[in-house]
Amino acid sequence: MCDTCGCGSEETIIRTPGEAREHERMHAAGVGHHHAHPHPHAPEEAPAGGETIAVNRDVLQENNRLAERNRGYFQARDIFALNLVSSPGSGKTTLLERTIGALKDSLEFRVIEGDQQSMQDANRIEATGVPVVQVNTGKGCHLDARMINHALGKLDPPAGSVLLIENVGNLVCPSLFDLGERHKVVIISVTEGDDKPAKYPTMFAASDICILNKIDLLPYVDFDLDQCKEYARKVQPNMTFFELSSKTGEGMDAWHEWIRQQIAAGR
Amino acid sequence: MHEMSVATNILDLAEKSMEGYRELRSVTVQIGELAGIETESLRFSFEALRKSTPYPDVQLVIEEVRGRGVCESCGREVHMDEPFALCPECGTYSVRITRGQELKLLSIEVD
Repeated sequence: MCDTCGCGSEETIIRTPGEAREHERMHAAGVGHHHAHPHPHAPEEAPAGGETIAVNRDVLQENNRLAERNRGYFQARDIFALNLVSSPGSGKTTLLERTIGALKDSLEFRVIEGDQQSMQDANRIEATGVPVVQVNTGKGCHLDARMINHALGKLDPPAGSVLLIENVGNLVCPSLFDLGERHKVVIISVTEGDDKPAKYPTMFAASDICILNKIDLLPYVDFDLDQCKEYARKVQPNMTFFELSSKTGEGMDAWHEWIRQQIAAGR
Repeated sequence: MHEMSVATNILDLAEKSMEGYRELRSVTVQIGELAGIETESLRFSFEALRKSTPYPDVQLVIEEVRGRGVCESCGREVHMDEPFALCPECGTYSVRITRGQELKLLSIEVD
């Protein structure tokens, strides 16, 4: 949300770190602007009489349709897109920073950051030298396919690039919204409970890659890696796991290798 | 609270389906036990949203669908209230969901 005018409190804002500063400068200079407030209207002409109309449509069909469009866009440009989901504080942004740092000489990265508010994460990614677009969802608790569609218009990721989408930190809502990604990657840190997959099964069922992060802290916490994997496999028998610490770098090689292999296999 | 965007989607889809009728009386949705939707949350969101539409009195009717699965090892049918289930017959977790993920707008009542 813009701190000056509060715009975005109701609507999604999509912007790059450079644009965010421009928006603040504009307000500082006393320049205002208008916001659209779209709302539905009843049709002008209506036939008479009550009736039941059969609809029989998936409630999320609009999102699914847009997700398929995004998927087509990724396929046409040979873009490898990952949707990273987790609770807040699992270390998603650090994982992104370290992954980009290790692979950016050989792979082209683009990032879409999703948060309710602030440019914090986009600024961190910008510091790695990789183009990034921040989506602020306002009150929204997840990214949806339309937001990604709009962000892609701004980001214009080049052919053959890797697109990392960091979803809003939330282990419930993003599970329902397909963005068009190749894989949903669920991240859980060992400072959380090893029973997370049992408590939030919908998200683990929707993902096929699971990263167990912050393993450098295992000696200090009661987190049973095998137990956690067992819970996760119950909801997603095909889950692929990576145990790593994006802070110390332990286990990161296998994750990087997987990304390289996926890209090589896709070509 | 993804139920808020689900409620928004229901109202948008209902409005697009009105075929020129002026008044939206009710919407009937089908929600599976395994669809990841809290029906109470959805009712709450719908209640809050309808006031800002041209149809502030529109009713939400929810038809719930029980979760069902079939064991891929032994073929036994199982009730599922979570997206995974232990097969009572063979003791494996290879139960595949067959029903209960529905999230559909079935019909609307218009005037």
